[in-house]
Amino acid sequence: MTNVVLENLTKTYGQADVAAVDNISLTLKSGALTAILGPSGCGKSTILKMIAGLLAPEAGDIKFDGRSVLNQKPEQRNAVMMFQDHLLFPYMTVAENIGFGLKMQRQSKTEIQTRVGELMELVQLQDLGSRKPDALSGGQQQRVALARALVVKPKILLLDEPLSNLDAHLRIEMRDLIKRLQQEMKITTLFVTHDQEEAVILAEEIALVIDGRLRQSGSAPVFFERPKDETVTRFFGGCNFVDGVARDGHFICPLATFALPADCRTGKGRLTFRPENIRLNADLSAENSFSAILISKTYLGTQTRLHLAAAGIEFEALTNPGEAHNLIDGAELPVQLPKNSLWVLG
Amino acid sequence: MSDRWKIALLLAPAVLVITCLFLGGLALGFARSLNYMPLIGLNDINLNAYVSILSSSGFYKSLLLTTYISFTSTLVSCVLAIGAAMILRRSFIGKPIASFLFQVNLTVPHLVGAIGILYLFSQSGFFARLAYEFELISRPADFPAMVFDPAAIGIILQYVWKEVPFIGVILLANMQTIGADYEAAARSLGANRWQSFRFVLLPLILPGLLSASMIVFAFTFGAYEIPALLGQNFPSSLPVLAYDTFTDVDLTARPEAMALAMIIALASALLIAGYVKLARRHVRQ
Amino acid sequence: MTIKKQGLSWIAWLSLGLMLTWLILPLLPLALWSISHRWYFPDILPSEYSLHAWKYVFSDTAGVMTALGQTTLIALGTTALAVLIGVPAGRALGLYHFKGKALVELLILAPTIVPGIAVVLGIHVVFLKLGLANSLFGVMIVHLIPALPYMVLVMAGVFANYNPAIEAQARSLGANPLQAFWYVTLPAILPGLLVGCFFTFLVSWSQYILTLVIGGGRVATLPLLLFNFATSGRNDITGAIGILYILPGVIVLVLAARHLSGRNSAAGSLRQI
Repeated sequence: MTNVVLENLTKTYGQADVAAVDNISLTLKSGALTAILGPSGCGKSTILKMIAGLLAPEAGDIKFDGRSVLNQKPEQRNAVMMFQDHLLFPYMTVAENIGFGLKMQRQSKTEIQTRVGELMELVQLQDLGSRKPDALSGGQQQRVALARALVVKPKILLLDEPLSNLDAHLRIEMRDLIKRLQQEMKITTLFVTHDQEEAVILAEEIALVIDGRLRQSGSAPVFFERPKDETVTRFFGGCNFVDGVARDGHFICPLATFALPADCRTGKGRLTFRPENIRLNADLSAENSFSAILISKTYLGTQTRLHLAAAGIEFEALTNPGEAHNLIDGAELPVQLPKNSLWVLG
Repeated sequence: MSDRWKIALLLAPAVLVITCLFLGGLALGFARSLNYMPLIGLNDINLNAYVSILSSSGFYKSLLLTTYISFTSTLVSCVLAIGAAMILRRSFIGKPIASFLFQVNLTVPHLVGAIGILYLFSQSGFFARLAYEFELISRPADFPAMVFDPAAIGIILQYVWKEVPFIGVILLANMQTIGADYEAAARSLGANRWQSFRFVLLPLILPGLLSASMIVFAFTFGAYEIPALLGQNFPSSLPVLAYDTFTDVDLTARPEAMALAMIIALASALLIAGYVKLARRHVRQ
Repeated sequence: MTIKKQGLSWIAWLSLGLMLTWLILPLLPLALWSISHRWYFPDILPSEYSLHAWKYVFSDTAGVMTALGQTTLIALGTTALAVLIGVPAGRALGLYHFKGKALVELLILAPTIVPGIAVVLGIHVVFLKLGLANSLFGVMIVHLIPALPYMVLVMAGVFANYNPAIEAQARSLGANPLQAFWYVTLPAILPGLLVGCFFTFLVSWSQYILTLVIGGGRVATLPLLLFNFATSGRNDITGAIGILYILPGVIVLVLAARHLSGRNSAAGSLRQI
């Protein structure tokens, strides 16, 4: 269990002054799985490489258990990185691949054999030890890569999009394996992904990084219920924004005057509410209710997306297809925004 | 037209030319080495040429010298080429110029390099003059013999000069394809710089290195003009021995020249066979 | 502090410097000798310079220009033959999988490994009978042995990345086979074809023993002349011919430096030179 702190980490690439990683500070809870979430090509992998010691930051510090590791070489850090395309050494067998880290530590052959055996069992590859990596399926390759990383009992496990090269069902299998092993072994883990769902399911903490900057960090519900700004809201699927003023626990805007949760900011702001939280066919006399017109609807399979408008403001709601079936475009609908589903952005 | 006929038709000219000229040349040389050449009235097959060669100590000295030259040149070239490629794959100021200079002698014929080596290392050459300037020697003969010498230093220097860029460029292309990620993975798993070279990069470039070495070994084993220019008279390298025997005024020596040519061909055939076997094992596992 | 440094350590710089110096060094005495008039031991540099060697090289009587012409003619002829014979073979190897392909590839590769001297001594007597020995055409033909494989290999690589469906597309748009080749196939393979031609040319350009045996002393190419001058101790003329001899390759390399680097096949093809 290692506590990892990133302080004002910065790294620019090439001649352009575009920072791949821009002044990021983050604390990884020891023994927990933290996800760095963000769109592709926004410097997430760069952060992992800096922690692993494969890249040097231009500014800032990286501390393991309070001690800076910037002077340590990659092999001294015991921060093991698992790459997106598994990078199994093609000329080694599965067992040799898994035992690689122990061989580098000059462990005895019997010790290596025992540990490799344990790990192969752990990732359910007992019988494949003598195969070459190219004789394995994509999912198996990824499990070997995971075993190879875990065999050295890393202080920090760094996973760079480990699921993105897998088919949908393999992805779920691998995701559950990572979660199970991480919880059993209590290894401080940093997991990079562009997939919001992956991050939400796997991680105790999420750090949202966009354009090299840390936008917000916290547990998954925070991003849905208490997003920091519009970018964050949109990244997590929020699409409804209404300008107005928050005052005395209420938000005043052309739609209506809404009662707000107690922790909302006051003053000029932008109201946001998630499409799945909107209640349809509400009692118009109930709190935070108003009447809207259905403009159109989009059938999504498990849900139907409704495009609504009121007082010249358009917004979207999600409902189940059964309920939406009876609705006709142009119909007037009473809707309610439950008080606790509202949030005001700056 | 079916694909089979199309393929046959497309390949026919090239296969015909190589079969006639290359295989034909080998076959004719073999026949002549057995003293069989009806074209010029020789019908009496015998192994005299081989017996004569294999019972002369000069042949073994030549064989040993040629093998030594090829082996040393290949080994030294490989080591230097790996080092050069390791440096040139990194990014640094002036890399384009360095890369260009590294490749510039690829198009320079061996013979020109051999003459350059002659002018640098002969006993009246540049380095001898430099040694005189620094009062290390007092006359040309004091300078250690590096051309026309028993240790074939000049020949080896020439081959190394020419082959380091050849192997180096192949390795560079190889390393470019491999990328740096495998080594990064190894470093992250606890390998130090030496270990990540020894256990990761080296095995990854080994196939390329092997095929390049084979080509270099075969070439240095069979090249004529370099040992002819830089080598001592006796023992001479096998190709020189073969050509000298071929041009001997005594025409009865011709079968022996052919037999020598066959032995050179056999050596390279063995080399190819060994390489194919190695390559196959590498691919199969 | 940094792990992945940009730039090199001083040891790496030193090694690189030494290596590059060593690679250029043998070419310098040739250049210097070609403009020297007196350069006796123990002078480090010539004591007198002159352009005498160059005047000699360019004079009508010396035969160097004739040799230059013959070398060029042979190399161009070999290249032309290699294009005609090698491009179809490269197409077959690059586009199709067929039974015995590995064997054909081995046959075509073999001449690049087996030394020329092992083959040419046997051919000599037949060429003599056919009247090909001691002639330009005979030398051209025999140069095909080392040169043709490179054309085939380069073109096989080109065709492996070529989609023949564009020819069918052209035909369906109304082009006849010749037009399809001229307007569609040729432009697509041209860059690779030029690379193949360059290598074939250089392989022929640098042949020594094949020319010596088949040319029988009647066909005097630049390398033969160069060898004779080098062994007769005319260092100044040797230097001038040497510089003249390496020029085409170096010039093309300068022009194509950017395109050549990192090309596997390119390096492989420069082998026999």
